[in-house]
Amino acid sequence: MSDTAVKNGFFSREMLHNGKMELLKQKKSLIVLTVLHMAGVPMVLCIAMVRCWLGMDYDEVEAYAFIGAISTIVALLSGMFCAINSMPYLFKRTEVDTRLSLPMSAPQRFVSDLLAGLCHYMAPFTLSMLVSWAIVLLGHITCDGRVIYREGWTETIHIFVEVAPYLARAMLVVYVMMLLYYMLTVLVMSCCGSLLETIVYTLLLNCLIPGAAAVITGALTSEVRGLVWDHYLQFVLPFTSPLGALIYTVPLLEDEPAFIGLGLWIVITVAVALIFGLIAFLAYRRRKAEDTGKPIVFELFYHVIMTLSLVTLIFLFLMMDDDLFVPAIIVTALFYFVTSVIKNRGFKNFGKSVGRYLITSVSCFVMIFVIHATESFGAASRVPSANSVSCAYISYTGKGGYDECGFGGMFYSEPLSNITCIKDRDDIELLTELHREMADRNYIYGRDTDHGEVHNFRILYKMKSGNWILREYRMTERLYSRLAVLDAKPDMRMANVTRAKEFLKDMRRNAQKGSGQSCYLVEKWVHYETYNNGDPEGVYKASIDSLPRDFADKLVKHYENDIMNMTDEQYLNENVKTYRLVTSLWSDGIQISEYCTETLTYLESLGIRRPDNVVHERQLE
Amino acid sequence: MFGDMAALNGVDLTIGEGTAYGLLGSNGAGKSTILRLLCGVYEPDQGDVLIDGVSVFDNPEVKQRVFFINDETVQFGQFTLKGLKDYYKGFYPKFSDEVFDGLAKTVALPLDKKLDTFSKGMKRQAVVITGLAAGTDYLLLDEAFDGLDPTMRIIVRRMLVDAMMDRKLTTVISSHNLNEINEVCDSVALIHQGKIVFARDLDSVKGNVHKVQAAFTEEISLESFDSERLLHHDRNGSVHYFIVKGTEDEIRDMFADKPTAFLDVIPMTLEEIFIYEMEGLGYDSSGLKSTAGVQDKGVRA
Repeated sequence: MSDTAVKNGFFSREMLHNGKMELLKQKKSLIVLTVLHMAGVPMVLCIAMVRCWLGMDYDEVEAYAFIGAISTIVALLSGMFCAINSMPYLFKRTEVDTRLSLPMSAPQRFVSDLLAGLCHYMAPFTLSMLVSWAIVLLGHITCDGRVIYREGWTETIHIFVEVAPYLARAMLVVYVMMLLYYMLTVLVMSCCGSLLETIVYTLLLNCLIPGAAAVITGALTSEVRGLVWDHYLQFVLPFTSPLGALIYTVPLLEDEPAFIGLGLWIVITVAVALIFGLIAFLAYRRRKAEDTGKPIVFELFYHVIMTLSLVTLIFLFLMMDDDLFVPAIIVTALFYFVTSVIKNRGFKNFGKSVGRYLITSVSCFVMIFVIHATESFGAASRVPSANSVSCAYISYTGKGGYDECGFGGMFYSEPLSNITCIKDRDDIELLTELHREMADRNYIYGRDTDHGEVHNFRILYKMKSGNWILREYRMTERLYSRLAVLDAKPDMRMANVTRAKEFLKDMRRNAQKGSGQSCYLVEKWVHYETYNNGDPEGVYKASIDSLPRDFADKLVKHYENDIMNMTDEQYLNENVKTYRLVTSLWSDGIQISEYCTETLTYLESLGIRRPDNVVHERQLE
Repeated sequence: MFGDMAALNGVDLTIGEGTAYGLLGSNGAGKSTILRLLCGVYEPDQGDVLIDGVSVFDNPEVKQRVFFINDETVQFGQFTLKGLKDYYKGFYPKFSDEVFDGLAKTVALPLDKKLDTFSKGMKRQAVVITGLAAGTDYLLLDEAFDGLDPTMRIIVRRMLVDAMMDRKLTTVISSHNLNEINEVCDSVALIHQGKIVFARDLDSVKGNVHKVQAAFTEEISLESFDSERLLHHDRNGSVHYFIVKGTEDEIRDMFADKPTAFLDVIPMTLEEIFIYEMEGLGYDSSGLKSTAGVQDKGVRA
């Protein structure tokens, strides 16, 4: 052994040198990526700050944000090329001898090249983030109430203070997505020997993994009563590919993440990325120098791609319509035939290809049959016991609520805190009983089989085990009316207070100083169109700008006192005169009955009095 | 194995320290594959490649003692000569700036220009001086003299010889240019279709095959010659031309019982030996593969 040999275990000076040289080779690309990233978040923040300083309209920053988003997306998509450039010897024969004869073991070379490529990909983004943080910090430090924040109607909104947490979450999400995308590319690279195949299969896998996951989930949930496709997708798609992650992580950037918390998403996605990396490493170790130039190094990889393609196509066809059985066979057979001929450069092993096609397609059809026959392995008829439920979120909002609005998007845009949460044991029992009845009576979503007015009803159980169960049914009026016992329950009342709080928060965010917006009380049943074209007559408006800073807090407090202190009879009294607090732009509002004395008194003190000359819509009817 | 084809089969070579070893063979014989096995680029499917008793594949410590120069230079296009030095310096701890700078000066290559702007021969010089400066114990060269002009060939050859003399550098050279092998190497191996035809020191190779010109007082039958040793026969009038394996004495013994009018035994060049050996293996020098088997030995009376 040479006396100069490196003996520091796995990590060696040569690895570091190799990584450094690889990065230096990518100097030009690093500069381009840095410019693209700088034209993203830092540019937008910078422009926002300058415009604030100059007192210009903040909304026009959106135009720059669009440019920034395009620029950042282009930079992020370059991850594939960063990975490819880090291991050119996997595709270029001319590089094989030079790189593989260097004094590094295969694992050392893999780790060094992988990290160099990752640095090449992530360093420009990291730099842009450092600059962004500097801008945010500068904005925060120099925030003196005049220049770099805007004022809302109730309080000063510190743009940069609000941006910081959002930026932190976005940064984490982007890092994780970059890692996932990069590792997926490295995995494909390790299994392919030509550049064309690497690019094509990377793009394909980015679509096929979430695609197959989506259609299989679709097959498990569609046409089976109660199961909601969207609900299951969100547990699968965010982890399968950057594309899936992109769709489902945007809500995670909000203050209150809905279902899968940001932390959990990061942990699982990083784990998936590391699994991709591990498989890539195993493939890398197994492949030989002489494999460079081959389109596909490992047959298994090709078959995985083909199987995913077939599964996606077959499930997709049958999800659309059961009658598409024959077209599904024709299209997939043609697809398999063409790809086999291309891959084998002719009709070599054609018999084997036919056999594989038959096995895969028959397996898919059998699987679909089993899913249908067993109603998604019994999931459709599964009703949790009340004792195992921690709380239940329901779309029913009871008296004074917002009916069923908003619940459909609860997983992606609406925080769970906005949705009625039932915690009372007896009430949960009632819900599980109703659930059992609906499951047994075979109400198929979208195909109600009972007569009478139907309502969409969603119920989301948070189990004590930490699991979530979501079901959606069409409910008859008779069953729906059984929910009325919940109306006056504290959980239901509190849900209304919470919604009022959210409404005020939204109003505060969206109302701008000097916009001339006002808020006022209208009669509850006044139709939206009555005042959508302008503030209605006979109302007593208060300018939003003139309201005190603690308006929202005080109003919510009074409202909570009123709602929680009402008797059941008062709360459920439908004949009592009820108003709605709205703004010029927001037609939804807080419902305030005559029993809300504290609230009405407080509003009156601010000039927001009960409206005159109101016509009760129901009276008109 | 390349797919279902064995590139090399049963190759057993021992290369001594400080020697210059030449690999000869037809196109696709497996010369480059041997070099790639020696530097650890390829992993043998069977057997092992050992350097000083230690397996070379995936062994950084051993690979640090081997420098491989392949027949391509395009991969270095984006490097300047200085950049090339910096690149390899980090991998080979014995890399000598002094040697590099000295050799670069000798071949008068610009240090700050990208290799892309160099001619093929200049690129080759750049890589060779890098290999020599790396300070490794073993230097493997695939088509080392390809693209070099005659003057530069002499300079590069001298550099190699100096390094071998100065620090017992072991060099393995694969080349189609048999003159270069003849000039530089001590030993050679002839490879054909993935197998070693022979592996000997150059003197014994050259001393073991001779051209014979002879005239006979009466007609002779080729059957009376040892077919294993007779590589080629031709005739022009009464003069017979033979290519025969063996030393001069052995050949004279071989012809002793023949009715010779005169007999000249002439040493052969390496190129002639290569051509006749390959012809003997059915690889015709005219480029057309002989349909005759080994039994014919190219005898065309």
